[in-house]
Amino acid sequence: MLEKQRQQPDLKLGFETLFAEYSDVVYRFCLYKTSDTHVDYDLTQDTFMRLWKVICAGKDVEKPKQYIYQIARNLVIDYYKKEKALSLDNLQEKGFDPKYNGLETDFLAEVTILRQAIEKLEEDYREIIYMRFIEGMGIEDIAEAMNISTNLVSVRINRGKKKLQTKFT
Amino acid sequence: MDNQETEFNKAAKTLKGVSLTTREKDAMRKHIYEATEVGEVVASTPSPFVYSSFFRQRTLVALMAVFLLTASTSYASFASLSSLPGEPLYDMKVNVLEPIGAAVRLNEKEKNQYRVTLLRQRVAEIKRLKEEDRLKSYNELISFKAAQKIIAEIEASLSFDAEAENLEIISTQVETYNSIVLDESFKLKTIIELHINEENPSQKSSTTTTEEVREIVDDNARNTKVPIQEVEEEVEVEVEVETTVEETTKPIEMVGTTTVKKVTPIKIPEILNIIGL
Repeated sequence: MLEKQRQQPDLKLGFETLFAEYSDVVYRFCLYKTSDTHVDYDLTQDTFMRLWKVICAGKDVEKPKQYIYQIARNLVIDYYKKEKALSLDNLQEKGFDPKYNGLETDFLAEVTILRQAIEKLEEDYREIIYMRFIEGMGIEDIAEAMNISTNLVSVRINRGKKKLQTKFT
Repeated sequence: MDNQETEFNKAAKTLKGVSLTTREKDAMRKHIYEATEVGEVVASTPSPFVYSSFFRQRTLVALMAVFLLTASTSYASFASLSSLPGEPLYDMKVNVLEPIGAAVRLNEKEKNQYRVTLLRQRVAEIKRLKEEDRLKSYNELISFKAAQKIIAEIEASLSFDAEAENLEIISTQVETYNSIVLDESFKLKTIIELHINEENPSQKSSTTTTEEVREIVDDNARNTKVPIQEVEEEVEVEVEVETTVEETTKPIEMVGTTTVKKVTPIKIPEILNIIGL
C-alpha cells in the first residue's frame, strides 16, 4: 500500500501530462464526430476519466496516444448507438437545428463540410486524413495512434488525398 | 473544385483553432479526480503481502497507536510528519494518524481543541504550498477535502465548546484559508459564524450603546407614572453627589451608600430600578 501511495504523485504527473497534451485533440475529435459542444465536452471528460482509472488501477499504458484515441473512438460509437445511430445529417434532415449547441452556425456548417468530405472516403482513409489534415499529426504519430506501420500511413495519406481531390471535382 | 477545396481548407483551419479553455480543463480535471476519489483508488487495490483488509487495517492502526504512544500523544509528534497535500505520506497523515490522535484524547472538549489545532495545520499547509509555488488544482483539492472534513467534525462537536472560546479562531482560520486558495470551489464552507450569532446573542447585547439605553428608558417611561425628565434630573444629581465624595475627605457612608452604588456606571437594571420597575 505504501509503495502504491508513493507512486501516486508519479501517476498523477503522468496523467496530467497526457491530459495537457491530448485534451484539445480529443475535444476536437469528438466535436468533429458529433458537432455538439455539450456532448463533445462530456465525451472528452469520459475519455480521460477512463484513462485515469486505468492508470490508477496500475495498468501499463504503453502507447497512450493510441489508447486515448481508441477510448474516444469507442465513446463516440457508444454515443451514436445510444442516439440510435442518428448522424448529424440525419438529424438535420429531421429538423434538428445545430444552433442550440452554443457554437455559431457558420462554424458548425464548416465542421459539417469537413465531415461530409472526409466521410465520403473509404473507412481506412477517414481518420488518417483527419489526423493528418485537421490535427496536423506526423506520420509516426498517426502510425502509433492507429497501430499500423508508418509505410501504410504514408500510402493511405497519399491515396486519401488524391481521393479527396477527386471528390472536389 | 477550387471552391470546395478552399472551403475544406478553411473549415480545417477553423477546427484546428478550437480548444478547451483553461477553466474548462480545470473543471474537467477536478471532476475526474472527484469522481474517482483521489487517493482512494490506488489505496483500494489490495496488496498481495497482507492476508486480509481487516488484518491490514487492525495491524496498521495498532502499529500507529504504538508509535504514537511511544513517541508522544502531543501535537509535536504530528508536527514531525510535515507532509503536504499531494505528497505520499499526506493521506496516511490525515486519514490514519490524525484520527488516532483524536481518538486518544480523553474527552470531547480535548478532541474539539485538537481539531482546531488540525484546522490551523491545514491553513499552515496551504500557506506553505503557496510559498513554495506548488498550489496546483489537485493539491488544492486534497487540501480542501482534508480541511472540510475537519470543519465538519468541529461543527459536529461544537456543543462541547461551551465557552465558545474557539469560534473566533475557527472563523479566522477559515477566512485565512479561503483567502489563499485559488479555485472558488475549494473555499471552505462553515456554519460557525452562524453559531456565534445564534448561540451567543449576549455578545451583542453586552455592547449596548447609550442610545439603546435611552431607548429602553424611553420605552419604560411610557409605562410608568414617573416622568423621564425627573429620572434624568435624579441621575444628574447623583453624579454630582459622587463628585463631591471624591473631592472631600468625608467617609462615603456620610453621603449614603445606596446613592453612590446607583450612580456609576449607569446600567439598564439600575435605571429600571430608578424608574420603579
